[in-house]
Amino acid sequence: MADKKQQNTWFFKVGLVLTVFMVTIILIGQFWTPYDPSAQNAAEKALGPSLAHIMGTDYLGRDIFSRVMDGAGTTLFIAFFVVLLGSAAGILVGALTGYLGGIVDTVLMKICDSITAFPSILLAMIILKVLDRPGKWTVIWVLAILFIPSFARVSRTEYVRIKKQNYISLARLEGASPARIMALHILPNAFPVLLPAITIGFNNAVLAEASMSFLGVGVSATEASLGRMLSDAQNYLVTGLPWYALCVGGTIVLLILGFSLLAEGLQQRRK
Amino acid sequence: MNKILEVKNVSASYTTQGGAFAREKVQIVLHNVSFDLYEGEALGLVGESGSGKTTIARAILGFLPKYEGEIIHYSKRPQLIFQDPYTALNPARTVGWILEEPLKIYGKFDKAERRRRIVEMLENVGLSEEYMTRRPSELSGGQRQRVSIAAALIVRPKLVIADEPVSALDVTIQAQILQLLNEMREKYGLSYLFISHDMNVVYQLCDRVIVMKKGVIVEDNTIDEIFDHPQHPYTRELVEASR
Repeated sequence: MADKKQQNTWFFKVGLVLTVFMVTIILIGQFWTPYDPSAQNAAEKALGPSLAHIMGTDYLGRDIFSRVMDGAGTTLFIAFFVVLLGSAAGILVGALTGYLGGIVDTVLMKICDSITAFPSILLAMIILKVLDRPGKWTVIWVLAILFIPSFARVSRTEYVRIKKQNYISLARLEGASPARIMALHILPNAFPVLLPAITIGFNNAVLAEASMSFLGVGVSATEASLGRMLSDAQNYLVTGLPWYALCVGGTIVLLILGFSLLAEGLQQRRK
Repeated sequence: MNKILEVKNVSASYTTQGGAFAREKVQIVLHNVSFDLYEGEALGLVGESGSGKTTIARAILGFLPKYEGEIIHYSKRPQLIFQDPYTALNPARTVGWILEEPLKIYGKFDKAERRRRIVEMLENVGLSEEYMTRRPSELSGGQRQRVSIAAALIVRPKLVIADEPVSALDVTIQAQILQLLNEMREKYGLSYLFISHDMNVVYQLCDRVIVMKKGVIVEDNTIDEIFDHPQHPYTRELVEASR
């Protein structure tokens, strides 16, 4: 028992430290980078990692670390808004379906099921191709909508469970409106379960953005993002710049690992 | 004396879902139940589990979707006190929030007046102002039941339905809560519909008792008559068991 508790806080602490560390570096990158991320330097191209360039330079002599700081910002920006919009809408859908039940439940959950029936990345790629408007906000809207069902499902389960509690019957007896009960009486009790789901969602959003940009359907060519850089880097993986792909991939891994540990820690802390 | 509640010929049943090998079954839970409750009266509703006493309470409070007969109550906001004080209070909220919520919904008082009423009610049930910031998880069973009572009474109802409000508590705490219910009844002129399976508890609080068995009222009399001259064999059994 004691061992297990120890492990739980370990997950949470390491996840928190890693996440704070990564997010801080990325946020700094929005205002200051060691070098101009787009400045080319013919004299210093394709250099390996060194003290001057800790992640080396690319084939145009641009500092990879500065580019990662900048590009990860785009990825994080997208992930943040995807989770914000997706979870807000998803929790609302879950609340309506779970609390009201009946026809609302059937219709909304069927829509969610049909969204989930397709592989989300494939669906996102098709929508983005059809829209043909590459850019941060297009990616955000498409991913946010695709993320609704997963949040809705978690939220619905909680609303179904909590609405049967005696204190909810009493709130109804006091004359509280359904909206008031959903927002003020049930939501705070659902939060311990929703929080890990949101953290995992953040994780999935980072990966989804990276995958889509890697496949060339994400952000536009002028915007740097981790996925786009990785796609760029794979061309040079065997021809002289292996550290480019490794450093960009490693950044994604660290970012994901931080969120995963944090989510895992949050989930176990409530038990 | 004025009636506060009239229950007229109420019958209720539920249908069990038929499966592949089972036919639908109709289970009768209430059969032609009638009684009146007067202002200021404490009426005990006694019976074994499955006798339909909780179903009656749910019907009166409007939680029962379907029943036959008529229920009229002359109290605007009948309130309920649950058996289990551990599930009756929102665990994510403080005592202050829980007590303020009914007043906010009622909507006629400003912030200062709401606070005044909360503090007054907390003192009524034997708790101090400091409890406002506590969460239910920080309270004992008896304290939780006091908060439940405060939450029920804060909107000044005339009719309070108490569903086994002390059966989850220790005997010493039981006595304190029963005494509190008696005090509140006098102070606010409340009518109680007190559901219980325990004749001893009913004796300490009620003026009149209705005995139910399998959805039917088998006896309806004053507390003294019930104890001294029980008519129905089932009532006799209950009285014997409590001695």
